[in-house]
Amino acid sequence: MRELDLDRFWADDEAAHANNCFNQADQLPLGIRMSDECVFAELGEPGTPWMPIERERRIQLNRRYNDKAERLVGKRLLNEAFPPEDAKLPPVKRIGEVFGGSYIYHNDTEWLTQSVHSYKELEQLLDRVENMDLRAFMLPPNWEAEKTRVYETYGIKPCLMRHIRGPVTLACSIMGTEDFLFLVMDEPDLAKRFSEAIILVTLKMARVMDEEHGTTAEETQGFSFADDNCCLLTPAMYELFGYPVLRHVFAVYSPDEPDMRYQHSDSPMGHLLPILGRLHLNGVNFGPTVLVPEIRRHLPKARIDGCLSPMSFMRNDRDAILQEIRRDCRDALYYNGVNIATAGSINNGSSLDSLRFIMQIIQNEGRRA
Amino acid sequence: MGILSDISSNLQAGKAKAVQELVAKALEEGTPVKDILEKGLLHGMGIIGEKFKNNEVFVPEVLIAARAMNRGMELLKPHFAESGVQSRGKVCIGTVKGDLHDIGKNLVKMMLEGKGFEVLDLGTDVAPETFIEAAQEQDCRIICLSALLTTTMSAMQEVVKAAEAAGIRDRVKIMIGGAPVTEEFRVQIGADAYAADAASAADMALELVEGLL
Repeated sequence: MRELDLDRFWADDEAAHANNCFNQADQLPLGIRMSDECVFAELGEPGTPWMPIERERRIQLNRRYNDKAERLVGKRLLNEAFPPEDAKLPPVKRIGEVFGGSYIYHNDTEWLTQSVHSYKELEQLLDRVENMDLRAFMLPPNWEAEKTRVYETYGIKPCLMRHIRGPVTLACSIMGTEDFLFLVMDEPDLAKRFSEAIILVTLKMARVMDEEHGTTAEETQGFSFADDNCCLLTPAMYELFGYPVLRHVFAVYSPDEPDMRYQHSDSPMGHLLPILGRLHLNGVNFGPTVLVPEIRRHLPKARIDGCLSPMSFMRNDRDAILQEIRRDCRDALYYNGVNIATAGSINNGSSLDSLRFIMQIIQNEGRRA
Repeated sequence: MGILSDISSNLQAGKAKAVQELVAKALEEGTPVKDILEKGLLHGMGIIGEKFKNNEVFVPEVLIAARAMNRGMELLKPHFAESGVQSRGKVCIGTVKGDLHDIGKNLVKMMLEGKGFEVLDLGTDVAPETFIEAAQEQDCRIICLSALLTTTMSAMQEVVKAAEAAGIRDRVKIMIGGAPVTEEFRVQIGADAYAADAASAADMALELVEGLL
């Protein structure tokens, strides 16, 4: 392969992302921009990838990482501009908390705890949730004062809610995975009620944050879900429980073709593709067992972020990376709309050297001109 | 053969109540316990396992089949001793320290039970010493380790080391699995077997105890 020409790569990459990656640009798009968790292995620094860290250390780590990235791949990849601590708004309650769970850290990883242990408890939970004053529940007592202070001092508005843990993953956390699967099989009416409560809550929570931010669904469109566990359902079960949530939320927040309709599920999703196809998704990131030709058959207009195995990348396995990126380049040139990236989240250990290698493969084998 | 194939087919369909009734009827009719177990329950679970491996059925179908098998087993187990039915050995299984995921581990447990193993489920977030103590106290032939996170898979090596330190490595096999785990990782940490999915794990466990691996 020819040596990598970094300046040319990034110039071509910019054009490659036009029209949601559906274009005839000279070069295929690269979707990998690494992630904050990669700083530890890359810099040989102690630390755990999934715990929040103090702002100054975050900036220092990201700056050092970016210095290295600039040398190796010609671009500063990670954010270095984090707002000061007092620019942060007090935390707003999240969807798992509405359903009775708590977000806890265990072994440096965030988990949503189980809140119901029987169908009876689920019914009681749904009774509460369906009648909940979500605005009062979500926003802390000092919200108004803090919102005003942060806006007047820093010009920062509250964040919108346009991305949530998907319905199946949420339900698995709230009930426990097996009990949830039994629920959908044994008590479909109660499962349907649970699904409808998730629709109601999602739309209401998003609306509260729209109001707090000062926008509406019509003004600021697009929505995305991260639903790793949806692969655990059969198509019929997903049709009953998961699909209605996405359909209703997209109908409000992504009614028009260009509005983002995105699903991330880094898991084996092949059996659910026909259903997801009916949602007209325009962006997906699935696990490495489902590849471009299969996805494209069901989702003709979706930008496919994939399909490099995150584990090949994390192991920095050059043979596997070469084989998989070559495959994805071939598929992308044939099918279009493929953003060369990992099929799932990028892990600490994935190196900048490997990213450079991926860029080299794309520049050599992922070109139209 | 009629009632045994009925047990198998109802189990495959996840019909727990029907399986329970059929097992009770088979016992009443004097069908040998070993036949009810092997030609009815384990036969049905074996078919489900194969279908799962071939992506013909999904996790929920395995769950309800396993639930049906357990209902049948509840009736059958009290007759094992008098009938001379023996399990294929004890296995202890758990998700490693720091990791709270359980569905993968539970699927492997179901598949192992479907192959006739007696499975001791240690749960999630299991410390290395807990695996070793359980294996020693319960005379387990295999320790099965599950991890879903890249940050917790390293805990598998701690279990291998703890088994070596406890001097049980020659009589206890260690099998690993989970999304981030690979055959290469197995070699690196010195475990005995790596399984890519739950059904393969059960097949591999059989090969391990039969000395084929």
